[in-house]
Amino acid sequence: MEGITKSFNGKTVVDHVSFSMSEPGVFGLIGTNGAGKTTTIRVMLGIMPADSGQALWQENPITREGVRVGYMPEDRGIYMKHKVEEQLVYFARLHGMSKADAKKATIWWLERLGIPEYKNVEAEKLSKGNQQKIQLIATLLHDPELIILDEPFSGLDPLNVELFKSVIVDLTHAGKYIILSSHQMETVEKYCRDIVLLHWGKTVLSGNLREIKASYGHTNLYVEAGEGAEALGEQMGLKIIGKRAQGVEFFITGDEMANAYLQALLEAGMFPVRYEIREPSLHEIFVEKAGAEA
Amino acid sequence: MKSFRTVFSFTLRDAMRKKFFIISTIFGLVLILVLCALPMILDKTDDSTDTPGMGGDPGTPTEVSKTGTIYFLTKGDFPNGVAAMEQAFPTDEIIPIMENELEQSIEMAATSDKTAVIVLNMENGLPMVTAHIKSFFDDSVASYAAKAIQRQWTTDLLAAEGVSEEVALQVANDVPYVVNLVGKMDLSGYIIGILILCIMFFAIYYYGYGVAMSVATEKTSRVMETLLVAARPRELFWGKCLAMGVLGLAQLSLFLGFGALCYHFLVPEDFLIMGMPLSLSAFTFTSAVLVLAYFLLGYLLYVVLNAASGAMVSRAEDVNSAMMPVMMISMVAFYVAYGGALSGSGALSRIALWIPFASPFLMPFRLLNEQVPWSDIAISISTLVVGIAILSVLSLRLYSISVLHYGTRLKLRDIKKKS
Repeated sequence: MEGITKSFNGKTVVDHVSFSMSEPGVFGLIGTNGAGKTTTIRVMLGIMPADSGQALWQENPITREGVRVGYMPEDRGIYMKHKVEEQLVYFARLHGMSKADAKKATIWWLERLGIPEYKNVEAEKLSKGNQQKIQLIATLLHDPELIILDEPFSGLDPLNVELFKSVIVDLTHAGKYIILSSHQMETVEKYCRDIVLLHWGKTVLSGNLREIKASYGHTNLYVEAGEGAEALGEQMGLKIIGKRAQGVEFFITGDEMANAYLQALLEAGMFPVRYEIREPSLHEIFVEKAGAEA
Repeated sequence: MKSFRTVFSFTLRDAMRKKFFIISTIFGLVLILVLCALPMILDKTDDSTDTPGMGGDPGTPTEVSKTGTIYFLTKGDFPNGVAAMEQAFPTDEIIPIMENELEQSIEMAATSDKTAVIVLNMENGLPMVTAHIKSFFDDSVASYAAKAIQRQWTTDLLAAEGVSEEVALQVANDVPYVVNLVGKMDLSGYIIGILILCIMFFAIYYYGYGVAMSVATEKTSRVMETLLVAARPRELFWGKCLAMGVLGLAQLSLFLGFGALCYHFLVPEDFLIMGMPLSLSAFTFTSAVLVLAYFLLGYLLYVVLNAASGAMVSRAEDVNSAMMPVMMISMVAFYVAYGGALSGSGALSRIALWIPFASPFLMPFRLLNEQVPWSDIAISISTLVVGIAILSVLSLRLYSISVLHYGTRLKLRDIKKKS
């Protein structure tokens, strides 16, 4: 994406957004609601024209003919009155597959996602989770090179989240380019190598996630050491940034501060069952960046 | 092109399975069958002569069964009045009444379909007939009674002047006449023309509504985003519009073909409607092809507007209100065409010829009822094609802009900005 800008009624919704993927993997497109993620995707796919900038695939403008794209929109869109196989074959054929190949791929994906028995069932009779599976199959059926998943896990139960995640892992291993748009930071953190963080249409952070987090250094210390650990930290001037049922999380300025606290714990006879020094989570970075811009 | 074909076949299959399509097709075919079989059924059940009366089943001349009652009051001097009534209404019982019974008799006529009161009033030596009947459907009773009294009065007058009874009867008889239509417009053409006009309107509305609803459903259910990644808006637009048009054309062709078959096998050759033979002579191969062409062109003209209307809504239930302007145009055009059809080759007909919205309704009627000059056909088809081309470009633009617009309704100003 090179400097994509899009405005509606004089309001700039996407403002000079640029990012790129140099190799297969999962790319995180993150942002708050209304940050411009969906518009960015629509412009990228060519279903909405950009005011300026361009979206390229292997140095050529992205077109329907130039690249096989699989897009799973945030607002799930399937034909409720149509049978599952019928509509999946239709979507696949629109992407250029033959009828026979489309049917074969449909069966394979229905089995992969554990719902082969719904082949001849109208979509409206399926649960929300199963409808979401149909949407995922419609996205992947034609073996796309570029896959865009907009909030793929929203509304799914934990088992289905795991199933979807396993599909994403498989796709990554198969060398697919995946753009994952989400505001579930844990998911993005787990799967994405590179990210771009949008806020009110502007890029507030972009790059390799590991490098971004490393640039912040060790800023968090999580400790589970029983009663008194929290008070001891406060006596030492540590700032509490979160409390959990079993432990407490402090903000630290460096590893020395964490070591000093550990020494104090041991001297006080409190032996930690968990002691973790880490970089800030993507969630914390997101809140910091989005909050600063707000 | 492949995407267009895929959308076309998917839409066609989907529309063919819709309950309304199946029901309307079966209903249409059954209606055609019944209408064509009606003359045969009537012919078998009705072995009577066409005799006037209140009872409905006049019986045979030799064995008259009285099924209705006519109370007859003579005011003044007319000695053969009852005899004239008995001759005019052989299946009804004629009961002479006195003036004081008139009110009661009228009350009876007011409540019975099989009872009438006829009053013959001789004023200044001239007869005057008043018929009291329950419904205006029975108004033929008055004319039959007046005719019978007229005949009797004439023969009585001539007899009084010494003219023989035979001559007097000859003078009093009506002169028989035969209508021989030498023009193209006959009752059959008129009826079929009006029927086709109505079918055209219905089909254009129904299939246009189908397209608008289908577009709105894809938009509001957000399937559109999935579709737009794989196909261009114009492929979706035309695939949908043309598939529904082809289905409509197939249905209309089926009706026409089935109608021709039923007419051939079921309608008796000597069948008359209002004294005129039922004939499909106006339905030549050329006129049938042109009727189908006008259907397709008329459908295309309206459907592109309907597709754009469907794309403009954010909720499927708003489709009707979005289609309202198109509906209003089609209704006005329908009545202009209907007026033009009734006016023959009058001014309205000439004007409608030039209006693309009205000509698809008017021209099929004219083709079945008159020798339409080729120049008129060329004018109407040219204006239609130009109209379709202009509206297609505008509607496709509107469709492309609207299909991904949600929330507030698009205003023309916004559309212009986005164009």
